[in-house]
Amino acid sequence: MVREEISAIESAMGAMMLHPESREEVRQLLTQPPELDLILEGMEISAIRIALRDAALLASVDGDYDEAELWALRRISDAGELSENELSLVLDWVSDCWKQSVAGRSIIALPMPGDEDIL
Amino acid sequence: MLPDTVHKLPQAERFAYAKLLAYITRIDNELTVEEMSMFEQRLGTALLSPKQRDLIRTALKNPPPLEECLKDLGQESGRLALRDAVLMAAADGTVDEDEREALDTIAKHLELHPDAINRLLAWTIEGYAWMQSGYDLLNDLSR
Repeated sequence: MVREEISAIESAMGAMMLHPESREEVRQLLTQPPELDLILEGMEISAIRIALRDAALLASVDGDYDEAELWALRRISDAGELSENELSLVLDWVSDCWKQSVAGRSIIALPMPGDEDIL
Repeated sequence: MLPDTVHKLPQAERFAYAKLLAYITRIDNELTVEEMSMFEQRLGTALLSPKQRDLIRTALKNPPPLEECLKDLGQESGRLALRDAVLMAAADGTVDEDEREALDTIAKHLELHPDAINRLLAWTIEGYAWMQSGYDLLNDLSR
């Protein structure tokens, strides 16, 4: 895992306001992740859809979606009873997130390499 | 949630960044769930050590003076802190006079363009609308 991905996961756990002990459990799971289907089995549809949104954001952090990430996103999307086209809408929303992020950095004059390609 | 350069800053500046956010969060003496969630999100992004997180949560109860928050911030950490301070200030839906005054003071300290806060506020409004569009999208989607 790259530092950017760890930062994104810690950010997501912060936004969810997870208890410190739960965060520690999640960090442990990063080295030995459970089966995706086992996780999805215990989740409500609404929670799966929010997880899909944040999973798509996390998967985009290193710049692209690889095959394994796309497979997992499709599996989560299916479990959330969403179509391929609807998954595509979620990924479009993630692209907008990157543009929004670039616009913020532009205002404070702190661009990152690659920002010009995103806009 | 997307990373930028906060996590790459020296540890002391990441701590100063978080201290400034704690100051802004408590400026109106209220702490809503939305503000707390945003605050914890930014702490996560900054990759602070557990000990530093505890110190920052203490700073939420007894925020340091603004001058103390500003003195350890460099140009980069200061700008990132200002951007996220605007996000924090607007997290409860309004930016009151005290918050605006503090934001203007920070922008002046960083020698930014006089219009910087207005532009960041406009960006923040767009950002929250975009966040809402994400929730709307998830709610509307059904097979």
